[in-house]
Amino acid sequence: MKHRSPLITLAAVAVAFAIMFIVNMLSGPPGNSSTGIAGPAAAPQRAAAVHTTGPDSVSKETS
Amino acid sequence: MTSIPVPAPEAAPAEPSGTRIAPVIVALAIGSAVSIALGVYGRLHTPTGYAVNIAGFSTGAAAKAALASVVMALAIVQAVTAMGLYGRIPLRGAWVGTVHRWSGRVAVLISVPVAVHCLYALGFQAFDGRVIAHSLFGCFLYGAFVFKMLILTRDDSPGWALPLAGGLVLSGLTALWTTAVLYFFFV
Repeated sequence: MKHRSPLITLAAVAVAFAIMFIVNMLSGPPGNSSTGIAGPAAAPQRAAAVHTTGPDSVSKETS
Repeated sequence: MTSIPVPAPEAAPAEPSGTRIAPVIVALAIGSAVSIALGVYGRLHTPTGYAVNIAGFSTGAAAKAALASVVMALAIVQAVTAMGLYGRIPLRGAWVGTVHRWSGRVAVLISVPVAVHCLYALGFQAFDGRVIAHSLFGCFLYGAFVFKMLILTRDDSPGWALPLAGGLVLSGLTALWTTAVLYFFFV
């Protein structure tokens, strides 16, 4: 006899993993809603990030 | 004239009839593959350094420590109810199985945000002994969990397989909690 409920649990965990990964990929980097280093200083960091993120911004600044 | 005693054919197998080792090996192989896949992903993925936070916590580390502690408490409930189910302690009644199953389901679902944060924001790291142990135990835990869930689907696995799987999950979680949460709170 085979029991299906453990497979349903496995599937639910896999779906939860997928949802969490998708949410993380869709959410942008640090605001107050991010974990890790961002805390009260998140707003100034975001403002600074405008000048430092990506090669495009670097090329605009240097050109 | 003496007759030579011939052992009865049914005396040879030591295991109870109807049990099979092959499904256990297949489940172990699948669980190992899951552990390796998580480790490879964690190593190849470039850590973002951030992940979605859970409302109400000051930092990601605090959220992870709290959630992991809830998971650890539920794992202790799992161990106690499992001992009741196996008759090792005097816990009886249908509620024991129900509590065992639901505490496990809730525990693993609560662990998902913690694991995703580790994998997505931090990745598999190896810059000191505690961190490499934590990374390895994290990968091991979900492989052991998959192994246990696959064992649970079969009635024909040997009697030792399910306690072994449960013990692996509990050991992995304890090691994981010790190398992170205990460190977060006390070091």
